[in-house]
Amino acid sequence: MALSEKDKKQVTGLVAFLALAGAGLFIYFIHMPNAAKLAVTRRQIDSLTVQVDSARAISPGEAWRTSGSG
Amino acid sequence: MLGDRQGSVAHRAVAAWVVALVVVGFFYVTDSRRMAAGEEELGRVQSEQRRFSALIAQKRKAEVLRDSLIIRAHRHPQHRRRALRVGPHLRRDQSRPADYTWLTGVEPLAAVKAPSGPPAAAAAAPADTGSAAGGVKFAIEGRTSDIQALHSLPAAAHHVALDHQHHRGSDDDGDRAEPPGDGLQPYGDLPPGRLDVRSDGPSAADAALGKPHGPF
Repeated sequence: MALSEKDKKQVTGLVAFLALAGAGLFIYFIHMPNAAKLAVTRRQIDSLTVQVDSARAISPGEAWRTSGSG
Repeated sequence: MLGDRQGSVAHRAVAAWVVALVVVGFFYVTDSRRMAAGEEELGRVQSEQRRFSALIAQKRKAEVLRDSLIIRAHRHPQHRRRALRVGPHLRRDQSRPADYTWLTGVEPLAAVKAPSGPPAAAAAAPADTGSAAGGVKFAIEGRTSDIQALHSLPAAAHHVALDHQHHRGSDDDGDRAEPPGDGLQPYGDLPPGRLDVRSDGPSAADAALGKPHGPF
């Protein structure tokens, strides 16, 4: 059964639409959740980095030296 | 003519697939790289946070205490004077790890000469061993956040020479202890019971932070 010219154009358009729709679905269901997860991870890193830097900024104290005999 | 039009339509379909695959591949590769890098960095920062967790908890506790004091001072004027009195101490205590005193080295110095006495007793006491008459002189090196904690040391350790040296950021590799003698003034003979505080000026870190100079 031979397809008419109009049918061939419709099939080709459908194939192109499927490709673009697949890309859109990938972006919506894979890329955007990953981006959100990455943003959460980045916020966690920033928060922990601030805590660690503030802990590092605390002076470890003064050096002292003493002696005795026994 | 008809074949050209069919080929053009097919090319558009192929181009759509190519564009879709390129976009999907690009996002997939970049997402994978960024996620891997982010998770690796998160693991590294979490391990550092675990290392400093005790210190961070102590600092947070001090901050909560300071904040509650400030709130009380704002609510009740009678507490304001007390808060003004305590606030600077809290801020000072926050800038140091409270109740931290640790040793970085213990080394023998020399044998102490036996006290002068009868020649027979002096001759009986060995000159270079740690006996009751002579004894061993030793030096202890350490770090402390509270010089008053040194008073809890044994009575034998009554000579104290303090070198005011801060070592900020020197613990990146997790090793806070330093080699003996590094950054310390040479120990001198001090009279018993004397506390000698040596300070050569504020460290660069203190100057950068605008901290007041002085070990106390």
